[in-house]
Amino acid sequence: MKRHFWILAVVVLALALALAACGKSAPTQAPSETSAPSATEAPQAKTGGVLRILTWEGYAPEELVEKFVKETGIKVEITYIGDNNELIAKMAATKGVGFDLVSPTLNYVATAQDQFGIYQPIDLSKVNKDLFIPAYWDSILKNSEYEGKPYALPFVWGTTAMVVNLEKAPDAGQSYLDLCDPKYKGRVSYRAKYDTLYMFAYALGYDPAEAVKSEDEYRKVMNAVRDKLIECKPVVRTYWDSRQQLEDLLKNDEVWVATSWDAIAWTLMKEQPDKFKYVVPKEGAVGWFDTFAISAGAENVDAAYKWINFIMQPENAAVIINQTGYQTASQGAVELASPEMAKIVAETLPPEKMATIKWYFPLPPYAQDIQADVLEQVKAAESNK
Amino acid sequence: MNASTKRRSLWLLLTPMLLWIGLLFVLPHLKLFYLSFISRRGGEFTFANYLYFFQSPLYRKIFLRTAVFSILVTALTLLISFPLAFIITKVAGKRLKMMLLLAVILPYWVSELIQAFTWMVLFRESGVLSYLLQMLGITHHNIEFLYHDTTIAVGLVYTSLLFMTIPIMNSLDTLDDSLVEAAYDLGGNFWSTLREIIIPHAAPGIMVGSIMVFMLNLGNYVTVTLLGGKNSLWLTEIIYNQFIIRFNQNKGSAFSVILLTFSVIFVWIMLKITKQDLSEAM
Repeated sequence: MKRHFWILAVVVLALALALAACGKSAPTQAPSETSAPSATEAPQAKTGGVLRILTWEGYAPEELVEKFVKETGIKVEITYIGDNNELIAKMAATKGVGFDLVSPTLNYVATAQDQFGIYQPIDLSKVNKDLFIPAYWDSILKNSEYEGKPYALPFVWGTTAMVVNLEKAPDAGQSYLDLCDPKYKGRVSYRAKYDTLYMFAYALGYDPAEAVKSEDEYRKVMNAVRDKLIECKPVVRTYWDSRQQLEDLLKNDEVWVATSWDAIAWTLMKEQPDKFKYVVPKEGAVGWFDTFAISAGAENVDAAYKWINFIMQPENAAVIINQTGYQTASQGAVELASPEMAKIVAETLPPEKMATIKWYFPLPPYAQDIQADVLEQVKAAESNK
Repeated sequence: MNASTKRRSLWLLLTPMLLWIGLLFVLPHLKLFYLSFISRRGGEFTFANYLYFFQSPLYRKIFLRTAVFSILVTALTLLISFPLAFIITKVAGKRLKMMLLLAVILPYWVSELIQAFTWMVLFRESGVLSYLLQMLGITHHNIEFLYHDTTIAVGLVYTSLLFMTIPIMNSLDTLDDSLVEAAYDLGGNFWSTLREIIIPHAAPGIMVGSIMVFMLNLGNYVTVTLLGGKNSLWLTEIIYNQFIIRFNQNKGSAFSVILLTFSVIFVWIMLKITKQDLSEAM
């Protein structure tokens, strides 16, 4: 009898544990089910509590998090993502439950909302508009509109162009087609990602932002880019994936000419000004804008807005500029950032180059597929050495 | 202890594993299987996801590449592991045995990701190996070892060694030394003894090791993408692309099922060819 009792006790305990584990997620999921499809009404906001942010590395520096906790008493939990698709996949899996504030790139906001309903509209009454640079404010609100409501606020932006080793390849960087020049055989690196596709499309004389509006047209343009990239494959050393990898390749002289995010190149320039330079070729840099968006499953909406109003204070945004090299939409932050960085930025991205920035364009679902097709074909193609 | 209590405690002890397998393996795979037959837009039953895979020359090529490469790596691993396992179990003294065993196990104290990064430090153009070769006067310029298929193979063999060596050691352990001696006494030479006595005895271990190594390599992602460079497209990357880049769970599921089916069929064929029984091999 006694033995039976113990067996029973253990089984009951195990079942209870299993049920508790299942039950834990149930209450949090419930509100999302009602709010997610329409994504118009915010779930009940709590005061204080925890703010859960899904963002990119460097966008929520330790220093600022500590300051925010001290000022508001709200705890901050941060999860990092490395890719917009990863962000969307994560959010779509739970309809946004689990995160309050996210930082998607602008061109992904409206399409993701359309496909998955993972965000809720921005409540403009809760945001301090004076903190933002007006031009960015207007353009981001307009470009993130879905069914007449804005879904994103401007946060951080940057450009992608080329970095060259001035000692080994001083003439490179006139055009993105330099990435294909046999002169630099084995000394070239770029990403096997969408930004490279855009660069080559512009370099070949296409306008992908216009072509993307028609599926056939976009496939035609991307196929042309694919053929070029396959033709160029022998010139490429490897496709880079991470910031660290690109820095290693450049610092070890293994790669002389590469595509690069401005911040990576600027950091290298700060260390070795005579060796590296961020160059914007004649086609113009490719520009991206990361935003603030509120999750459809947010449980602490108030805290999310508090964070936005906090991080966009010029002295706080300046910390992000100094630590990452990225630019922000905060009014007056550049003036507070380090003068050394400001000088490098002004040198490599003067107003006339700024005017030629090709901003990322919204991607319809078929465009994602076309780009993925092309990139797979490029990666799978044999390069005859 | 009577029979019914014994059975009950057996079930009780099995419960954690059954829960684990059921919730984390069987259930997700059933869902995967189900999703793979559903069309993405309409949600109706379809074979289109599978047809799409087999009609694409690109995917067929990548599939073939992944499969052939995994088989090759498995064979290579076996070639290195077998003598190693033999030395550890039969030849080496206590000290050497310990050292060799440690040498095999030690790399697994760090994760596969870190292993891949250390390979990159060693193999890159400005890396340790290239530097050493120059110091020894073998070459006079930097050599790039990374981003080749050979590098992937070396990396994969390295990460697989343990999973081949341990099972073979296990089966060799039970080989009675006197059998080998008897073989020689009866006029056998090195090769015939190996062929007639040692390998048949170690066959179950070889089989288990090969199955594990093959599966590990077929599903590898980290080593392949990091060491492979511009020409490496593994089937796992295609599956990742379907799920994460294209948001196409259905095609992604179909591709996963194809990968799974292939490995099951391969293992079954291997067992048939070598006339092994799965229960015996395990």
